Amino acid sequence: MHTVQLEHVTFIRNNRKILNDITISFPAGKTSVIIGPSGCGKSTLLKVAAGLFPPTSGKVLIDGKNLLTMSKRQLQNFRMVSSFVFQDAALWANKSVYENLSLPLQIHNPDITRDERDRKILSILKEVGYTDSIHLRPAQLSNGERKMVSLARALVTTPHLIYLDNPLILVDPSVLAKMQKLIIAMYKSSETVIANFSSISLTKRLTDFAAVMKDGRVIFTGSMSDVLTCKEPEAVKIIEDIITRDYSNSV
Amino acid sequence: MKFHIRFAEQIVGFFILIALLMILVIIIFMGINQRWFSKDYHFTSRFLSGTGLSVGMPLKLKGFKIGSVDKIELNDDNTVEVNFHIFDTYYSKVRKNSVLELSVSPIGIGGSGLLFYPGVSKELIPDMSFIPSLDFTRGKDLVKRGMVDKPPSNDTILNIVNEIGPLLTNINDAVVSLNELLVTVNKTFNGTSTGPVGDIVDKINKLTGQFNTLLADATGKIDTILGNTSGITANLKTTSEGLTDTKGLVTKLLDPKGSISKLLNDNFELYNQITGILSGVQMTTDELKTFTGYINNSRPQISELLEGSREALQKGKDVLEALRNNPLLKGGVSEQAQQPTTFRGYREEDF
Amino acid sequence: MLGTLGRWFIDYIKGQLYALGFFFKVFKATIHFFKGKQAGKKVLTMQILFTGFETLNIIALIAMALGAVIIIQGVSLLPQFGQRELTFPILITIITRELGPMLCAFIIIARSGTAIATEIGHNVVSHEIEAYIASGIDPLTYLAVPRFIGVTVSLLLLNIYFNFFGLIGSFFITQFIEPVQASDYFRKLLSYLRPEDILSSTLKSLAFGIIISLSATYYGFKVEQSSTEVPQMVIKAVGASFVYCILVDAVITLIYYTR
Repeated sequence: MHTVQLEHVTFIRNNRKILNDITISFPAGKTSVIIGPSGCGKSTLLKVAAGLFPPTSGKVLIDGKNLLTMSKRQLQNFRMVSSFVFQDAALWANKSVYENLSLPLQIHNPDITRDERDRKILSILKEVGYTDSIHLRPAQLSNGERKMVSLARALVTTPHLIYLDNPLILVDPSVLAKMQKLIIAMYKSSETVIANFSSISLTKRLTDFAAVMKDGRVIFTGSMSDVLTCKEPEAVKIIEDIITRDYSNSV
Repeated sequence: MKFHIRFAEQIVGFFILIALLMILVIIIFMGINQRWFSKDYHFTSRFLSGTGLSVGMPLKLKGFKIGSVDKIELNDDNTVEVNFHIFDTYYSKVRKNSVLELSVSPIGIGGSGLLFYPGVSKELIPDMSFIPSLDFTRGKDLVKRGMVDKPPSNDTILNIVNEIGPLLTNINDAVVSLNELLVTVNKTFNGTSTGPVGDIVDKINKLTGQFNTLLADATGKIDTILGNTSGITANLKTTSEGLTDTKGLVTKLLDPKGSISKLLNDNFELYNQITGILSGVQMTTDELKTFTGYINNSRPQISELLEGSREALQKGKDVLEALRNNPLLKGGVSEQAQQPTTFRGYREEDF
Repeated sequence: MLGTLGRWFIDYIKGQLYALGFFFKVFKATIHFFKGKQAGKKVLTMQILFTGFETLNIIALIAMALGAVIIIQGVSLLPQFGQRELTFPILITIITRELGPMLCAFIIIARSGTAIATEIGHNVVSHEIEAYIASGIDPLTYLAVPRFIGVTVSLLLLNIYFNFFGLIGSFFITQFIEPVQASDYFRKLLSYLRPEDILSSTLKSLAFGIIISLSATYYGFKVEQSSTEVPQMVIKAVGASFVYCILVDAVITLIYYTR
């Protein structure tokens, strides 16, 4: 089980402060969900917490160790146990589905045999509901298929710390169920999951710990029931807006 | 999957291997062509001047390149130290008492060469030894003592110059005798001489003999000269090949101290001299012609004179002896005017 | 005004230091590249295939055409000045020392330099670089180093092929137009070709390969968010490659002639 803490993290890009002095601790073995309106910095917070963007100031602590000052080996160990699912799938365009999945395996498990690797790949693809050829390139896949492969790539290395950045956005309803099933499995396991879901219904079902964000700041943290019953006017407004949007989308 | 993607590793491997083989083959052939893998024997020599010497210059033995110059240095005593190497295939020629000669073309253009003459000894000179040059007494002495296998000079132009020298001396002698005879004959027919006509005939005989010898000599030498024509042609070919080196040719042509420049800038002195010599030769030829005609016409009278003037002959002999001893009629060769040195470039010449 | 100038200067210095840091990291990663199992080795193979092997036909064509033109001009024009022998030094100077490495570099800039900068730029925009980082793959080791080694090696190899086709292949082309005796041609060619010519040519192609690959990867990674940045960075990569290649060529040529 892994803990992720952010201490006074500020992130500036192109002279714009995207994250503003954020201090938050994501509990180990729980599913934490970041809630907030579009453009409030949810994805950036996830990427900073995952060590994909180095913060302009502040610290990102993984199991108490500063991500920026970690040794190469410690960083490699962190990468081995963590994975990230991107909002836009971010599959490697010049590689086939098979290669997209086999590369992380080759990096983290260089000693496994090719057969074992193939077995693992086919198994995870089946789990996410991918049925097409494994030799296709990402450009040849539908949006939903790309999302499936992206989730499969994140899970193929059996990670214990998973970052999910809107993994179900724009996913075809036919495959949504299978993917949701996998995310629920993650929620039920003892893995640490830090997520950003666009769907409030999924957020309500899967959240152990929630953080409400507005304009690059975390304005409220607590359990999902705490969030839904909080009296903080800014947080209440944000939750109401999200629920309204989610309802209109479903209609 | 495309063929070249599927077999990418094999194709790349082949691509690299072929390139490496190519460069290897080129380097090996280059090495063989430029004798990288052959052992060379290194020697030193000394010359009075570095003119005509250059690094990389070939060292030749009887027209074959047997090595080349590696380094040229000016010593403290103003002599020029030359380091050179000889190919292992010719090392057997590097025998004790071998000498070097720096041959510079007499006409100033074309190639000069560094020539190697092996010693007559059978003992080989060890690597890194000193080999004397003909610029110094040591080298000259070895040649003089016959310890060097040095053939006669095969420089055709030099040979011609050598052949022309004695020929000119003979012509000069003949002209002197002719002058003497003409004076005597003039005096005889003017009545100013009591000269013996027999002596004249004697002179004519001598002169004829001299002319015959001269003609024979000249014919022989002209034959030799003609024989040398092929050599000259070959040399001209070499020279013209030398001319292809524009750098060398242009430098020589533009050199303000060069032969051609000198020829162009001597204020017509050389031209005037040549014209004078030609006029003199023309005059002598005319006189000889007149004289021959005269002799032909006078042959009966000469016979009569021969018959009738034995006494006069004795006296004439005395007179001619006196005349021969006269220094004014000796006909010595006038000293040739020295060509004045010009330091001007031909660009300064008015055209 | 003064403030703007000062800011520009500070930014410029920062940019240069960043570039130096990038080059240093690539060099450092290159040293460790061949140690152990590397996923980047496949990328290296593909890079040599695309940059080297697939360019071979263009290189061969240009080299043979150039060599043939020099030989034909040499054997027909130079003897008129009594300078037939100059054909070989001219051929070696153009094919081996000067135009060979430079033409190969220009072709690689146009073909692979642009492709690498575009691909990496696109990788950044589509978050593929982030995906590499998240998967524990160092983008520099996996993307920049194989391209750096691949382009440099390809340029070295292509230069050898250019010389081969330019010096030897062109001879066979010439036979159809102006026959030249083979033994005489190769003997003279090999006697005029010096090791320093090969060294100068190799050094140039090595330097050009380093310049092209570093410029392309550096400007590729400089793309930040938008796809409109990609062509801008490609233009910068091409411009930098041309400028630095010409400068380095001048320096090596200067060293060659003043040694």
